[in-house]
Amino acid sequence: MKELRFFSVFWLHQAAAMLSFAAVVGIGLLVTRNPVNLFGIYARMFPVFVLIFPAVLTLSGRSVRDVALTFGAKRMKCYAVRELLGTMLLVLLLAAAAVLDKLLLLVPDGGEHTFGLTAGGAVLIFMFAFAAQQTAFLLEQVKGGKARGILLGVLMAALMGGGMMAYLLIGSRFGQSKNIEMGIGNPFWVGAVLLAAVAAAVMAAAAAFAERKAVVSV
Amino acid sequence: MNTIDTKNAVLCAAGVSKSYGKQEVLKKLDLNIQPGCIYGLIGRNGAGKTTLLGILTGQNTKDSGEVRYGGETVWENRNALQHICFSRELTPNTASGQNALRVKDYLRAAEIFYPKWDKAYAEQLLEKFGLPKADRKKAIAKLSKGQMSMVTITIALASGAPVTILDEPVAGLDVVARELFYRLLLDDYTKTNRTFIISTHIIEEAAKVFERVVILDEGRIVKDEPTEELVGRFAYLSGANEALDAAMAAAGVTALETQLLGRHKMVAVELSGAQRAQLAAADGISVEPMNLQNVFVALCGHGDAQR
Repeated sequence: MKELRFFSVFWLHQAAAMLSFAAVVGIGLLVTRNPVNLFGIYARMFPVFVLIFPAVLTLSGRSVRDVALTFGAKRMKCYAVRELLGTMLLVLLLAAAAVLDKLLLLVPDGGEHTFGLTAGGAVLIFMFAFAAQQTAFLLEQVKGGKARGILLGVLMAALMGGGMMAYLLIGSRFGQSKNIEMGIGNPFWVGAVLLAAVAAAVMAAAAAFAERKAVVSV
Repeated sequence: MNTIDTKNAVLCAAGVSKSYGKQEVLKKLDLNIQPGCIYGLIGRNGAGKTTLLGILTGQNTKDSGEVRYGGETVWENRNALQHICFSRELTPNTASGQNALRVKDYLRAAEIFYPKWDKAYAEQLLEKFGLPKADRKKAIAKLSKGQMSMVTITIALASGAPVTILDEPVAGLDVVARELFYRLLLDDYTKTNRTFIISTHIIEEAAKVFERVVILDEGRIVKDEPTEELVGRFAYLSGANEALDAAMAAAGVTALETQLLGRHKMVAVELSGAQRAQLAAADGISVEPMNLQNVFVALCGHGDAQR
């Protein structure tokens, strides 16, 4: 498919940049063996990057989509390809976050400093990041500072922020304390994942609908 | 009057309208692009040229009407769109901010999407325009306006698309590069006989390559005919005020544009052959030819050029 060929090069650049960054952090962590230096901090915070970068990269991808349309690409194929590649990037980054989380355990005292990315936590982060990414797809269709744009921007930030809070609560000692039991076992998170999933589905449907009539603005 | 053959048209627009908010940019416009012809699309700023070209190539939406290439609708139709290249004017900024895409990204896109893309020819063109290989890795935003135009022209010419559209192709180019562009365009046209549509504000310079001209004014096509025929029908009449008024009234001619020169005046008019002969024979009246730019100003100036 021509659209896949076109977008995949940009995707490879993005994925390579992000994975290189993760590799530098991982290698730095193993070499320095210090969980509280810059490498350790980045390793712990990588799930936060997972929440932010895919959405931000989606927002900046409109100009690339416009170029594709300029050359006669089909709107819905562009959208489908961008969804596919965006989700793949998200999964790759999440995998990198999981690897970095495991690497922290190999470093002396690393286990005390890791938030601990559980399988359930990864699902939760994925869903929040995915919902933020879908909101970004819709947001990129909005021109200027209209109320709808502001609302979607706030929603996207809220989804990223919600994901970050969830990650901190699930992984931190605060979240696992006896007074406020907010570990991954808390059924609250099932509701949060479902809520994010609904938000992602609604945003994706709205973005796909808007994409049908996308106009080149370059 | 539109005298074109709609049956042989390669690209047709019928009843196309487009509004941005309350502003109606295109008003039930009909256009039939014939194969093997170089069209000039001219109009004032905001006349709707880029909107029309965007709609013709499925890059912009229309409110009503239909656009077809070879009988097939162009909207979301790769079968049709792969035969149409609209090489848009590149800008340093895009909807997502600075245009960080590189020249090579655009060339790669052209290679992917245009089945008749000629990579070797594209290389030759970039060499001819003097765009060094190092600059092809630069972001578009880092290029000069002239270099952006070189990329636009290269994509258009190397696309091999049967209908190739250029929007302001010579913007920012120096006179030598502009001459090179017109020569390359004519060379390509001679070899391939494909259709070109060129939208430009540099009318008189480009007029020499236009076989046919489409004049767009306030969302309507006011003229669509062979350039020579169009220009040949217009003339400047000059003479003493009273004598000129009387001669024009006798010939049944209406002034499109008037320039007062004391007791004399010069008017731009559209004439039939008989009217031209009658006025040329009138005492004290001179009939001078107009060029395409003069015709355009007379038709679309709405008196603005006299203010």
